Amino acid sequence: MAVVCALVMILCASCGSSEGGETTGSAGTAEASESSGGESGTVLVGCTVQLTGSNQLSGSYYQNGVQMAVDEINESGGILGKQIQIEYADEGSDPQTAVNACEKLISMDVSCIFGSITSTNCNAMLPSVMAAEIPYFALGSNSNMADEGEPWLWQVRVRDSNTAPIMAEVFAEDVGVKNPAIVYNTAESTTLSTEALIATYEEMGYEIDDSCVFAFTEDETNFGNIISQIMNSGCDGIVANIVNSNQAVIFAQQLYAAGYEGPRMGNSVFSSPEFREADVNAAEGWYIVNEWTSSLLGDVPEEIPQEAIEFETKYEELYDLESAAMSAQGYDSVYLFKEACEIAGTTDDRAAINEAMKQVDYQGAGNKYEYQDNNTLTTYILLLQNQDGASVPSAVVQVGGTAE
Amino acid sequence: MSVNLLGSIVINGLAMGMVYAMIAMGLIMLIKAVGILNFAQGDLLMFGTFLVSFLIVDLEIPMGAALPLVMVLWGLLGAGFMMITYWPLRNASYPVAPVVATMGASLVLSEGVFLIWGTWPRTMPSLFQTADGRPATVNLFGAEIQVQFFAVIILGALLMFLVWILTEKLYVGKMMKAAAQDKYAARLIGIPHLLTTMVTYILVTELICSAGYMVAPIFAVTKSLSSLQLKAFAGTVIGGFGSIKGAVIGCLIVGLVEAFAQVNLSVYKEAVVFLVLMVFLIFRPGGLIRSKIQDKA
Repeated sequence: MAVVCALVMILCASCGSSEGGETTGSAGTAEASESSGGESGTVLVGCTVQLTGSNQLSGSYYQNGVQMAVDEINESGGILGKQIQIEYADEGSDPQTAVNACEKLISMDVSCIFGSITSTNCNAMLPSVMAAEIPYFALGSNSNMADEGEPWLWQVRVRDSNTAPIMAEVFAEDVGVKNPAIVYNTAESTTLSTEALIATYEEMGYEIDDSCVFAFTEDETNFGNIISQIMNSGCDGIVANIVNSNQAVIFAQQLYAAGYEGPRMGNSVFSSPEFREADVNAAEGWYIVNEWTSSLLGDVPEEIPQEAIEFETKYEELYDLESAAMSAQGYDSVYLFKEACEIAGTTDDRAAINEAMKQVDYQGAGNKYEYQDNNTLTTYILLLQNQDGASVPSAVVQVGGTAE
Repeated sequence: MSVNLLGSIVINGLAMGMVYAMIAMGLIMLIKAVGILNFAQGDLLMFGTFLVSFLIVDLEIPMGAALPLVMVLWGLLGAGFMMITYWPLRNASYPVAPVVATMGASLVLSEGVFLIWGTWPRTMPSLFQTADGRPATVNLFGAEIQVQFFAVIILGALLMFLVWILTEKLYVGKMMKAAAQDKYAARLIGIPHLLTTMVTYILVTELICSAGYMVAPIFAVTKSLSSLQLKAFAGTVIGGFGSIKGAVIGCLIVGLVEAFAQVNLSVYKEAVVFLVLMVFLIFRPGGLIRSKIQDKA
């Protein structure tokens, strides 16, 4: 009998806990059950985030930014008078877990989803999101993400197809590297970005020889022979497209150890705090094209908006560490949702909110957001250079335009 | 291919081969002593390297003082690993149980480093530095090669020689072998099974963590260090499963094949290594060095 009672108690307990399912935490001021209809004091939103696995560091940056915006909005009266309640669902370290997290949020009838920071996971979640017709804020930068014209997807990143040409133009024309060695790992986003980069170089009239292009897998840690080949190739600079900051650290460190001192240009991970701080000497001098830098609390170009500086100041006060790109983008995503709700005059009519996204014109911390083709919203990107452990901004470049 | 690139490839390949060989040697010692294929070998290496990094980088303990402490901690890691994954399961009715336990331990160690030290990439200072703090290099036929690579080759060879002396020439090694061959008979003549097993685990952990410590300044201290184990497995099979000499030769071959594959085939480097492994499995499944028992059979 005692055993039966114990089993019943365990089952009851597990039923109770399964309401949270894979959701690892929630924050807000009211119960979720009140909010599904959206008319009773709260608006329920969801956020998928990598809280476990190899990307949990990036996940924590993202969650910090999102939570910061939610708290700010709730303190200032919420959205249309309603407090935001947010449910976080763990994406883990594989796309299937990410899809499960997304499905979990969809089943909770959330008003929007602040989605993954990786293109792979965004792409994996998209079919579920499109079927459920929920506004989805994607922090992946893949160029092909919205090519099918997904109406519920809102890409809050500069797409790789826009970043790569800017990298090529800045490196060739401003830095003067006409014949670079190009290294990239074979993730989908970096492969596409590298193809766009090579195409831009060739459009500018600079041929990239195949022997100067080096691809490697995401697990690669030994770059000794690639670096030897680069140093013997006669290339006048290096462009690196790498997804993972650990791999970027290892590559930069081995490059530094080999005594390479030519110009180096990297994608966004080369300005991440973990890259800059892991080995300050190896990080020194890298040029980076990225939407964000946390090195804003000093002398910065006039074009850097005050919103970015205020965000960084508050972030560092709250969390006692520098932010990362996904912090600012997560923060901005919540405010973009608020703007759309206010334009639509509702927090629960998802179709109206989604339609209102096209009218959003918002200066956030991480970018100036305006509706563009393929549901992308960002309008500019920064040119940075690593100096003394900081990624110092030197120019603001309009996407598809020139340096201001 | 230019001479300087060739020199760089050969040194890089030999150094990596030596690292794989140290891991493989540990694998074979465990197989011979307790009959366990340890799937957590790479994770032990990674965990041990994080430990060194914690002492030297985080706590800023000078290298000279940290080294004895590190050796003790590695020893405790090996002993603890044995007491959890092998000792309680040594008489299990399902003989694969300890092997499965090493798979579980692999996950625990791997996630453990995240929980303890986070996911932030960590770097280790090179043992050989120039005056401006840059890792020291040697110019070999025009190629700048890190001195650390040469140190890996020399230290690896030295450690393997010491292990060979211990297992083949010293009484302790003979005790370990005897206990491994017949536990009951060894106990009858007074060889304590617990002690010999624990010494084996400690030696193996010291050996592989030394390998991790030597490569950490080149590859940084990240979770990816655990993946070195895969190549060690390949080298062990190519050399002849169960033969330490074969494992060393097999791992050096793997290191060199991998290094040469990085020229023009860098994306397919892993595939090339495992293609070589498949060729050996098809045409010489016993490996390069066949054991005496295999030959007699």
